[in-house]
Amino acid sequence: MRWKWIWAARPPRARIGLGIMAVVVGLLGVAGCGSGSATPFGVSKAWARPTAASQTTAAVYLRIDGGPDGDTLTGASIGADVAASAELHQTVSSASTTTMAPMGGMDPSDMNSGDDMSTMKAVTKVDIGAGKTVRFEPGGYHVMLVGLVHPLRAGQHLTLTLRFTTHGAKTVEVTVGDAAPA
Amino acid sequence: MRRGTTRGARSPAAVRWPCRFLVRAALGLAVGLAGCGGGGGGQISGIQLTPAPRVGAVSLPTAASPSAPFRFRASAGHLLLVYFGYTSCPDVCPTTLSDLRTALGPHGLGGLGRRVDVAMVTIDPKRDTTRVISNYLHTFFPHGTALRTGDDRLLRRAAEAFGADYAVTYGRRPQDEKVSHTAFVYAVDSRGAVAVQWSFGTRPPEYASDLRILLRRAAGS
Repeated sequence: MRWKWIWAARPPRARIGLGIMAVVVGLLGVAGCGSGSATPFGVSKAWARPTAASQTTAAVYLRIDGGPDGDTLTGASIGADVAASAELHQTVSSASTTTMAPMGGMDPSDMNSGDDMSTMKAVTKVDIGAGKTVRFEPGGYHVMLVGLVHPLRAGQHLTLTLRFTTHGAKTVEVTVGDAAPA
Repeated sequence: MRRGTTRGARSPAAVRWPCRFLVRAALGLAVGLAGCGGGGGGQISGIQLTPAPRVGAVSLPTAASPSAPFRFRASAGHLLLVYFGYTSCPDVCPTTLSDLRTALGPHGLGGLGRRVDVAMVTIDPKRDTTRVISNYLHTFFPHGTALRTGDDRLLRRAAEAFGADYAVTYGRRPQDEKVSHTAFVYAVDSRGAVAVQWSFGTRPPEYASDLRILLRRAAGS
């Protein structure tokens, strides 16, 4: 048997090594399949940066797990005491802006094309596939708060409502801080 | 099953492969450390253009005193970081400025951060009044210089010197405004040359590591 040969042909020290490797590889396998499939549908880790007094907009970042059936995010709303509206947005930048490798010898005029620019577009829906996780992160999707009533202060908590096709309205607590909650 | 295929793929000659694994792991770790250690090795991770764009001859009015032109040139031994952005930008601009603040702060450059000056040019002067842009920048950098001009030809000329670009279209409501912009951070040296530029998504340790190298050069020149 191939198995037996692999095991028996090795000196004891190598056997210990093989045993350790087997356990490590096995654990990796378990860790690999453990995430995702068992995560239920939900919105979590919502945060926003503190804003300057003169700032009228803010971005909320969060994580959506599609759960076993997935769902579609169709909109968001926020209390009138926080902002005038909450919209789904996406920052779009060309590949050349975000993946440009460090290099010399590039002509400055190459950097001047419209393709290198970042812009924001409104999004009407975001599909979250079954078993998938969609992260709203800087430089990608965000919920944009338009017409802030007061600046957002570090440590403050906001309540944001997200609308989904199947799961209906889901409220999530948004923590104001300089980084995503751990 | 998975273990079987993993082992089966190994050649019978690799009897001591757990040891090999250790060697490989050590090598991998060394490469990884070299990669994140950047500062020690002296490798710049940002973009260096050849020839470096010269911006020292360009100036823009400061928001604080519009009659005083601000030249894009670092003082001796310092670096000047320049960013073209706007305050109604909820995502890219605050992310960049916040990451820069981290890079210049106690967990980044520490004391060396005093040798880095920050200037932000608004590309949306219609909505970013002098008060708005100053307040915005000072939230991130209390000593930062806010730059603003209502003269689009002047703004365009400054942006072009850096290789920056922007487009702003105004709608009926404030939120209808559509803004596109290049999202680079530029490091200008005391000769008025753009030594390095970083694209959006650069992490604070990368900024800090590159800035350390640039500051060493600035001190030596």
